[in-house]
Amino acid sequence: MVDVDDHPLSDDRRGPEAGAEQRERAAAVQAAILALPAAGRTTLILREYEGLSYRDIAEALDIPIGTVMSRLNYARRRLRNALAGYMEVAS
Amino acid sequence: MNHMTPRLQAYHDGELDPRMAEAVEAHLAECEACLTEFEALEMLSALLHELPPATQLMPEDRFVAQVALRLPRDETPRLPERTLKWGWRLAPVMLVATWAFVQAAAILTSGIAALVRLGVGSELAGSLIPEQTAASGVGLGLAGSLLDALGGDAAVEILRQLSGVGWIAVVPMLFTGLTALAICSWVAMWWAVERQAPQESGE
Repeated sequence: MVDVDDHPLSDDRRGPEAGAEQRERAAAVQAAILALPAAGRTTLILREYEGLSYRDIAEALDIPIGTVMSRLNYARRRLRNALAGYMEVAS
Repeated sequence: MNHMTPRLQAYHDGELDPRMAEAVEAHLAECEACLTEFEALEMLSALLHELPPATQLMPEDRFVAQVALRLPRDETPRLPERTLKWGWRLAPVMLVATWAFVQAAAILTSGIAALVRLGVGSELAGSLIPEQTAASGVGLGLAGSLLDALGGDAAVEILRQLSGVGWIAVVPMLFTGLTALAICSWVAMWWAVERQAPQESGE
């Protein structure tokens, strides 16, 4: 069993710098996502934040599953390039 | 060793079937390049999920997608499809029922005709229908209504002509032939559809 109290919800305990850093990172992620082409962005959001399966995304957007995969791949490649500086920090 | 790069994304998203997922897992254990690629995918996901949970990202995108998902996209064609399917299944039953009805009507009319010939119920039909027409049996109901409509000697004359040709007796035979043909076609089509069905449902 994992105690919920062992996992702080925010960075309050880590001091203001850590909080600022996380905010900056979140802003960068948001900017990178917003900079994506609309088609790739929607696909990525449905996959990463809505947790939809490829099939559900294909149905929702009325596109083939192959297109879902290529859009996701493209969006992720662009995000990786845009967020390269933050990738190590996140791991 | 072939790289699994094209499959890594589907593996990361949990979209591979178990056997393929196992293959990718085994490959990741021995291929440094693919492992690095896969870890990059995982890192990106982790980074994306650092955003506040109630992310304000593209609410309209999410809304559009949610609405699209909730639309009865599949339901619309399904109902007529189902109706068609049932209609298709019931087609031979309907054919046989129609055939049986026509045959029963024919038998009934010839029965009535026989009674008329024997003089029973002649008050009912005899006054309007001459014996030779009644003896032709089939189409008496039709003949009756025709007589009602036209009335009198003209109608009787028409019926005489018709029974002279004798085509009325041919109708049930023709109908039986057509019904048999229709049922045979139905069976042939059903067989063809059944043979195709496994390929279609294999999707």
